[in-house]
Amino acid sequence: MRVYLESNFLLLGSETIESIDFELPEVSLKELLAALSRRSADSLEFLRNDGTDLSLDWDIEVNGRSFGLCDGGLEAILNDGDTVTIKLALLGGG
Amino acid sequence: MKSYSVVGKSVERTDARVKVTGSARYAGDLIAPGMLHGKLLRSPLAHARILNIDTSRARALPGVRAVITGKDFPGIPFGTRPDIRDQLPMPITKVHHFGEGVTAVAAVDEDTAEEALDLITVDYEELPVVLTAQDALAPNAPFVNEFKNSNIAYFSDFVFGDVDKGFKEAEYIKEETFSSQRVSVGFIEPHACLAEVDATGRILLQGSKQSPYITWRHMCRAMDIPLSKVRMVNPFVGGGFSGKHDPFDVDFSAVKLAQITGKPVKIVLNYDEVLAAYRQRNAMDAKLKIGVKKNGVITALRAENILEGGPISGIGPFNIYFFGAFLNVPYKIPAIEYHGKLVYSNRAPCGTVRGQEIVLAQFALDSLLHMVGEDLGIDPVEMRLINAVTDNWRCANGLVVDVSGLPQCIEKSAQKIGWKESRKSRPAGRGIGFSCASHPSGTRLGGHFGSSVMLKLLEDGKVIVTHGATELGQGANTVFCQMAAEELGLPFEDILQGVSDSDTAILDCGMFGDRATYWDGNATIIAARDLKKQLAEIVAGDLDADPDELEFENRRVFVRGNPKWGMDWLLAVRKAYYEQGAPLYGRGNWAATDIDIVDWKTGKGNLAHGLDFIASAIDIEVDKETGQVTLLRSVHGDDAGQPINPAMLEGQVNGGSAHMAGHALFEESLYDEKGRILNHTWRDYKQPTALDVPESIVEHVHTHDPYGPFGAKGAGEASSCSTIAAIANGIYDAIGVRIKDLPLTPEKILQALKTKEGK
Repeated sequence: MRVYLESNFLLLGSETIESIDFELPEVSLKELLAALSRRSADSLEFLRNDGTDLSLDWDIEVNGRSFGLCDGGLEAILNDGDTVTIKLALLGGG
Repeated sequence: MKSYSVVGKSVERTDARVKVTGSARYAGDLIAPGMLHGKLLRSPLAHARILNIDTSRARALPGVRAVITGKDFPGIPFGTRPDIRDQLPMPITKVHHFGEGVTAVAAVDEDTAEEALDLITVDYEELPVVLTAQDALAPNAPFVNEFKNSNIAYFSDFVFGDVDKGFKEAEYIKEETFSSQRVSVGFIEPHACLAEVDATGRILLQGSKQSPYITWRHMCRAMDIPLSKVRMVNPFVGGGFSGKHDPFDVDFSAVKLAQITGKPVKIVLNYDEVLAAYRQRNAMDAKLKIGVKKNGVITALRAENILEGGPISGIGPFNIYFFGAFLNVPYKIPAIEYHGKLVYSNRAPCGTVRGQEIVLAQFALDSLLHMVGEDLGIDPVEMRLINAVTDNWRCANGLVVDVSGLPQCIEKSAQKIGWKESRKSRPAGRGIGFSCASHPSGTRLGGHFGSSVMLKLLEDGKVIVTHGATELGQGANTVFCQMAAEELGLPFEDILQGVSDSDTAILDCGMFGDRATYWDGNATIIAARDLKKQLAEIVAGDLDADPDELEFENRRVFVRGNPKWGMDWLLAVRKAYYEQGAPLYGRGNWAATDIDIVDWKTGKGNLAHGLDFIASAIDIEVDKETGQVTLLRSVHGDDAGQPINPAMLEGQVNGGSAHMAGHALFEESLYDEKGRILNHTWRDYKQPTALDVPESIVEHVHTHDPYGPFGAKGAGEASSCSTIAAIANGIYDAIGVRIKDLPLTPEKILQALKTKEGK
C-alpha cells in the first residue's frame, strides 16, 4: 500500500519524497510514524508517554483532518492512497 | 481619518517611574525565605570530552547544599524544531564552547558557592576546535554536536520566480561578497532567575526571560516534567533582543538545585559570563549577485549565505530562513535564488539579535544596490525609489505587501537629511548613507501561535490588562493599556497592567518578530469589545436601549447619537457587581490565521501581515587621518502604520539604529585559535553609548494597516535592519572606500584608503 506524505519541512531529507510504500495490507498511523522515524537521519521522535500520545511538537492530519478525529487516533488504520500531513510545531521564531 | 483619545498620544510609560527610580524588581532583586545561591563552573576549553567530574570536595564544604552535573538531568535533548533537537540542559559527554556550564552548586551564600566551584575537578580530553564556517565545512572536520553527524545544522534552498530569465533580461550584473562578525546581543540585565519548588513539587520559575513560553516548553521536555507542574512568572526584564528566548543552564540548574534541596535557589550571572558563553549573533559569509536594467530596475538576485552559529542550532534555522525569505522586501525583485547554510562551531551559541538575520541580508543587499547605482550613475535615493515596494505588491515568494509607505519614507528622509543640497557641496570627509528595510509584524509558526488578552473589570471601575506578551522594555504594556483605554472609552490612567504569570495568562508563543503590538494589540481590542458587550447587556434595560446601540466614551455608557442618554461607567460597573453579581472579564484572542504557515521547504507563502518600512539616512564624518567614523545625524522615515505611542515608537526606531551602530562600527566577540573568547568584559567589548549615537530624527509616515490594531504595524526591528548598510554606504559617500567586511573599523578604513591611494 502507498501513503502520500505532505509536510512543511524536509521530512526525509528530500523534497522529492512524496509517498511511502508498505509491503503490508494495512498500517496504523503509529506504524507510519515509526517507519518515518526509522528512515529519518535525525531519528525523528513523534510520540511520547511510551508511544501513547503524539508529541506536542507535531501537527498531524490524515486526509486533511486532525489525526485525533480519526477512529482510533494514533492507532487509526490508514488506507492505500491516504495522505498524511505532518507539520512542525515550533518553539521559537523571528 | 478617525481621531483617537489615547491612541496616538505619547502617554507616560506604565513602567517609566519604577524603572528610572530603581524600584522595579528584576530577577536578580528577588528574595525568597531560606533562599540558596547558585553558581556555575565553566569549561576552560572550547571542545573537549568530559572524562570525569569529581564534586566530592565541593559537596563536603560547609554551607554547600547541592552540586549537580549534566548527569542529574534525564538526557533528553531539546530544540527549536522537533527535527533538530541538539541541546541538553548541561553537557554530559563533552563541552562544546568556552565557558559552557559544566556543574552547578547551591550554597548558603554566593561566596561559599564560589569557593565550592574551586573544589570541583573536571578531567577533560581536549578535542580539535571548529572556529569558522570554513573549518566546519572542511573535509574530515570534527563534528561539533553529538546529536548530528554533520556540521551542517540546517540549510535552506529557495527559488522564487524565474531567476535565469531575470538574469537574461538584466543589462548589468554585479556580484559581491559580504561578511559579518560575531557580536553579543546587547541587553543590559544579565541572565538571572529564582526557582522555587512548593510542597506538591510544583515549580515556580521567575526569570529574566524574553519568551517564557519557550523556556517553559523546553524545560518541561528536557526535565521530563508535565507543563502543569511548572509556573512561569516574569519579573521586570532588562532587555532581550532575542538573547533570552531559551532556557539556559542558569534556569535548568536553579530548578534542579531547588528540587534537590527543597529550597529556593537564585542564580545571577555576572556580565563577563554573558559575554563569554551566551547568545551572540551568527557570523556571516554571503555572496550576492544582482541583475538590473540600465534604468536601475532589479530583474533578479542570487544569494548564498553561510551562518556560523556555535554548537547548537537554536533559532538558527529561522535565521537562515529569514535571510532568504525576506530578500523579497523592501525592493521589488521578481526572481530570487537563495542557498543558505547554518553550520556548527565551537564558539558561543548563537540566537540572533534585534532584526534577526534580516539585518545581515539587508546590509549585503543595500550595500550592493548602492554599488550598482554608483556603477550605472543612478542617484542612491532614486535607485531606492525605483525599486521600492508599493501598496498591494505581491513578492516573488508570495508575500503580500498590503500597505507600503516606503516611497514616502525615502522621500522624507532624503528631504530632511538634505540629500539634494549635499550633492552640490559638502565638507571633505562628510557623506550621507542611505538604506531601506522592512520587517514583518510576526510570522505564523506551527503549533501555538496566537495571542490572548484578558481584561479584568475592578469594582472601582479600573481595568487590569493581562496578556501573554512580555514587556522587555519595548513598551508593550503601555501600548496595550492605551489600546484598551481607547476601545473602552476610558482615560489611560484607568487601565492597569497585570502580572505576567502562566497561571493567569496564556503565554504567547514568544516575543519576537515585532509581533506584540500587532497580535496582542488586536487581542486587546477584541477583549475590550467583549467586556463592553457584557456590560452593555447589563445596563441596556436601564437605558431602554438595545445593547448594540450603546457606546462607550469619556467614562460613560450612552445610547448612540444621544450622549446625554446614558450612565457613568462606574455606575454601570456597580450595577454589574452589585445588582447582577457579575464581576466581569473581557477576553480576546487573535491570530493571523489567513496568512500561510511557514513553509520550510520552499520559503514560499504569504508569511506575514503588517510589513513595516523604514528609510534611513545617516550623515557621517570620516577622519581620513585616523579612520574614525562619527555619526553626526540620522533621519529615519518610518512607516509603522498608526503610531500608538509616537514617543515610544521613536525610542524603538532610534534604539534599533543605535544598537546596530555598534555592530556596524566596532563590536566584535574575538576568539583565539583554541576557541577561547578574548574580550568578555565591558573593558574590552565595546557597545555604543550616548556618545556614539547621532542626533536622531524620526519622520513618521502615517499609514493604516488593514489588519493591524487601529491600523498599527509592528516596530522596532526595521531600523536595526537599515542602519548597517546606511553606515557602510555613508562611509563610501564620504571617502570613496567600500568595506564589505563588518565591523567597519578605523583600521580597515585606513587600509582601504591606502589601497585606494595606491600606497
